[in-house]
Amino acid sequence: MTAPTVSPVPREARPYQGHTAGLVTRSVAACVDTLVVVSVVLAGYVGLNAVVFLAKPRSFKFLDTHLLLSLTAGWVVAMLYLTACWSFTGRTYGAHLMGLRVITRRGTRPRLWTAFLRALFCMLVPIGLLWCAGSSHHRSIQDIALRTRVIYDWQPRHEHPSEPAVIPYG
Amino acid sequence: MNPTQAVVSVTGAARRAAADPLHLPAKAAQGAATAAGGVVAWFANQLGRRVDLTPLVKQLIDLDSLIGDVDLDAAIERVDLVKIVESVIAEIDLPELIRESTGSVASSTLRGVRMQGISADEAVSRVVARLRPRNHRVPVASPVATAER
Repeated sequence: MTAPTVSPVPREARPYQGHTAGLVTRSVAACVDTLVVVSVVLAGYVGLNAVVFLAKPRSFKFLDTHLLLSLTAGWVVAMLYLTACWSFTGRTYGAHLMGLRVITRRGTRPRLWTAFLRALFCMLVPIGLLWCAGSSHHRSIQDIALRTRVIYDWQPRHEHPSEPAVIPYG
Repeated sequence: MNPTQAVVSVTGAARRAAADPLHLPAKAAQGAATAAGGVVAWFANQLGRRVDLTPLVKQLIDLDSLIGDVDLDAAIERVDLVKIVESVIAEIDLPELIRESTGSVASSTLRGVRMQGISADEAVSRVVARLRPRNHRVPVASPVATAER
């Protein structure tokens, strides 16, 4: 007797688990991640001002915000955030909300180096995500370059290998 | 084996015994035993069909003492309870029951958003597939349709 495995994933979502995610869910996840990064940068700015206020309460003025500096700070935070999330759990907060996970060609979590390169690629060519709408296997430019995939995975932890099949990369 | 078959069996045994007189007693005994067994089985079968044996068994056999002698622990040890429990949980979809009874509005909303996202992904894929030239079209197969097949 082959016992069916008990899955915490709702029945209607089970057929999709392990399949490559499409443009909409990935875009929503990316928007959530952008919000996270903006929140972190804002929190950093507020924290910095708080430190200045504690140091010189009488002559306190809000620090000037330079566009280039803010963008650089956001870029660095995004790089750190994406690299850490993909290498440690395979998913960012946005991906967690949308039930997505980044995996390598072998179905494993990306290594630190792969996660860093993917983050760099995403930050340099964010529009590369649009490529997954036209690609037959829903692969963005980053996925094609680094041989990664973004799959639907509602499980709290990644069960390797949960993918139905390893899609060949051409 | 019905009586006709038993008679045929006995006749056959007698013929074989006559052909090989050296092994007559052993073969004849074997044939007779087979035939007798067949007749008894046939009668028992017919008896079981016509007579309700349950009250008779209840009257003649002390089932309580019989069951009391059975080593139930050994029998249970042979059963793979984990597999049975897993299959029962999967059949009644226990995770779904727990979700429904303890799930918050936020988790059900999140689930809805995720499912909407998946539907939107499929819709985009279908639109893109239609926009492609005919000779480059790739059929968009929904995992649900594939699973139902």
